[in-house]
Amino acid sequence: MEFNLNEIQLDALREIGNIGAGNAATALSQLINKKVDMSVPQVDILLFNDMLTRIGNEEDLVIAVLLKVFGDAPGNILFVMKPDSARIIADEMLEGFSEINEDLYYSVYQELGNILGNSYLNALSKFTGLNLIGSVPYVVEDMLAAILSTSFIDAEQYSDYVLAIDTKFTQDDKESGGYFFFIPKPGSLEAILSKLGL
Amino acid sequence: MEGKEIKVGIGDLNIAFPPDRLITIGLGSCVGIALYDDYKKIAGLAHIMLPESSKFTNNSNPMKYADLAIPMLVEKMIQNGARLNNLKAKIAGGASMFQTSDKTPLMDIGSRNAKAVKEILQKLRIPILAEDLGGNYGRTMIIEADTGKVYIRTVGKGIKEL
Repeated sequence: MEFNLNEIQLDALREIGNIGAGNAATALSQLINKKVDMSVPQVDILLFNDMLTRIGNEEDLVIAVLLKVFGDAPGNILFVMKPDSARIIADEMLEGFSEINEDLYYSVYQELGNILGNSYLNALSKFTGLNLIGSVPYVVEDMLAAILSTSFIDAEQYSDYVLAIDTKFTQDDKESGGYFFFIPKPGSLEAILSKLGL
Repeated sequence: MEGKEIKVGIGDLNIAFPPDRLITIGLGSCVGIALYDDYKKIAGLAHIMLPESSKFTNNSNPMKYADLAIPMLVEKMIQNGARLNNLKAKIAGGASMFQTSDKTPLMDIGSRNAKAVKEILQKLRIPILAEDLGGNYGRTMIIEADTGKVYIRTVGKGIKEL
């Protein structure tokens, strides 16, 4: 996959990420009833390893939710959380429940991915007029490197350099939160940009 | 353990001599191929992402593809004194990381990688002594050049010898 993007196109993709992630952050904030901040979305074209080290180390245990994106601009949406951050978010969502087991956590993470992923996609869809549909969410708890590589490979990004539009969420000014990625398949960026006349 | 730990990245390969060892971290749908010459004590490790190169026009890095990486690794080991007839393989990875609650595999790239690796090893007449393939979890793979022992590290299950 070749990435030949000019500054205007990069700006447009960042703005798209901003709108999508802004909606997702609002949804997350309402869900856990806490202030959620987000970083300015980046359009990163990085060596795979550099993409990874922005989140952590290869063998770090993380919880990730993946939604496959179908329609006019296919790809993957991936939300990655460190286990303690994931627990904090889940416990907020589960307030009032007494018997909490692992299955319930799994289902909460699924729901979290659903809400974040679909608010991102809806915003993107409204803004561009592209038809975008998210799959059911898939939850996995494993090594960061295994999750991230599989997510890029599944989006048919096989080059040494990978591209993602990504945002970091933080809650209550703490360092905890999550990393939100839109990993486009080849051709999807072109579809988005051409809808915007760029 | 004495010796250096030599890291093999994604779409990468390398060889090691005693007392060093080779490690590749976080195999998801990728497959790790550990080769060993027991007589010459030479270890090799490759980390492939995709089954075959023929479907891709941009083959800038042949070490990504099972069909190119394995012969390259064999060649590199032979150049360093190993003999093809002595080589034995242990393979791991090829997981399907994201599975739904009804356990239908979302991505079959892992099993395609595993199948391709087996076929290529068979073609080269390199016997597979052990394998740890499939499942829905990531693996870290280590081979010791001194003993040829291969270890698999997984989340929550610790480290075990393959």
